[in-house]
Amino acid sequence: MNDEKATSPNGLPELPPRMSDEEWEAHWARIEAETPRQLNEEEMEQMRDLDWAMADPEINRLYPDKVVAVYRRQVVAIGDYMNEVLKEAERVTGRPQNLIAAVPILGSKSLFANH
Amino acid sequence: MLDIPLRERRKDYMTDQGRLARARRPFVQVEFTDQVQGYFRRAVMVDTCAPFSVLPYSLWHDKNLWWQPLGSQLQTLTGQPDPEALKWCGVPCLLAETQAVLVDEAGQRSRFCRMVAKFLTTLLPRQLESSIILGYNFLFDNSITMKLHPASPITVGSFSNVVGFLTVP
Repeated sequence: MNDEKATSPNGLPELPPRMSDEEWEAHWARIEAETPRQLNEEEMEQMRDLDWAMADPEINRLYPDKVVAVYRRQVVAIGDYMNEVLKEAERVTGRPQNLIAAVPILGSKSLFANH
Repeated sequence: MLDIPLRERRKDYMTDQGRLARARRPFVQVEFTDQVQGYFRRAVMVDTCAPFSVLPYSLWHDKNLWWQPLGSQLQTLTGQPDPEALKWCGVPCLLAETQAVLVDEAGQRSRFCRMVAKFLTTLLPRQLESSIILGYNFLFDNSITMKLHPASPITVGSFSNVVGFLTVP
């Protein structure tokens, strides 16, 4: 990953200016008004891929603690970080990242690191 | 009102005495709003023992979420800084807010829900960086009801291993 992005000199990212509560609510009201209530077919297909990746025994056996990207029930990228995996999956499939299913596979490290 | 299936993901272990030990976690499908590419969805762990939701650095920062800060430090009510309160796995966080949508098995979106979360300020070790947590505050802030029946999983539409529902009013 890009270490330069990981921390700013003071250890915290630069904070954006805060909208007023009224502006913030109006901002989200606009986005909500533009958002269809139902996923479209492409988005549904992505959800089915996500579902498949989470449930597939072979993927869960082979890739614990990895992130796996799937397109049309095929694994198209594997890696350690979600954003890297999505970039690779975008390159392989030519699809925009937001329409590629990617999921962290359960493993002992992810299950028990904070529990 | 929309019922969002809580799906169980599991990993099986065997003890050295030959006993099955099954680790389980409930997940929901959550949709975030990216300022550039629009909506994107993630499988998000529901953890009612987490006082606040948790968003990894690579999610809120690299994906250009719409968000705004609520503070970079928590204090006691007498004004004393409490730096430990705003950490996750030892890593400093911001307290910030965004909004998110829950998605059901038929692809229906809930209303937009307020998500106040610990926003991690650095990358975590790889196995944790992809962990997104829906904390107890998310249920409170959005008047969401949770029902669990982990001992009797059902299939809902194409979703198997449904062990409960979040009902979004």
